Amino acid sequence: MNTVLVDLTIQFLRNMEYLHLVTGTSRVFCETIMEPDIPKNFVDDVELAVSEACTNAIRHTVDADASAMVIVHFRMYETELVVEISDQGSGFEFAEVVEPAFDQHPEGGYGLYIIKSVMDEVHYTRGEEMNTLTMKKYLK
Amino acid sequence: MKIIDEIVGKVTVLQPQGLLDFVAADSLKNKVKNCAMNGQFNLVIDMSKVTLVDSSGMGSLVACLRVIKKEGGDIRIYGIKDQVRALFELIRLHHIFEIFDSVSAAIESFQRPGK
Repeated sequence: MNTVLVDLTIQFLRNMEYLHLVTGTSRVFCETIMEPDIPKNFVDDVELAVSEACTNAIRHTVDADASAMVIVHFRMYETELVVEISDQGSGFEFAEVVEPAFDQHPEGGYGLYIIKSVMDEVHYTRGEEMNTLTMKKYLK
Repeated sequence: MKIIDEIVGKVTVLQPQGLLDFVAADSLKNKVKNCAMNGQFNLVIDMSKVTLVDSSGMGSLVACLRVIKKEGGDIRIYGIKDQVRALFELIRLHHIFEIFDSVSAAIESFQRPGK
């Protein structure tokens, strides 16, 4: 059975002031758990994905109440890290997000593409009360 | 975001420090706009003190390049870590930015004929 080694949840108002708190926590969390044989760039990749996902969760929930929260849930298992980022916005159609127009070098729209590139699994569920982006990174 | 600037001949070297993300993106864009307003169009961005760059940070670099190119200048990049170099390549920005392994090479690149 895949045992949970550490379980940590951070909940904050959807405000960019808290972005560095979450990315910093992601780094410390991964470095604390780090095993000698985990893939190179594991900590950097997770921090990048968390930064992208939280930025999206904060920016794209403008339709939500000012008191809306973003919840970040880290779970480290023996074989993988799972990070869930939940927001109270109206959500988006995950399957309809297209790749950026790379040849035009746009100034935005890379976030989800980067997350999918640096994480091993990415899923999205759109709910009535919360939307959740689930990202997994394998340890081995 | 703290951004140190140094003028070397006709080249301005900007050294942003810390996280280059959504929170910091406007600081870099404003700094580069100020350079353009002051007639400083040859810029080197020294990324050696940047600990994380995300898509907002990359987007700010593209926006800065457009501002400077409009004035006939250019932005050269120095000091990127392996992960950031991989990110440049992932979103194809290595096609529009010249990346150098030393700050002196980046500065001297503006002396090349036609530059």
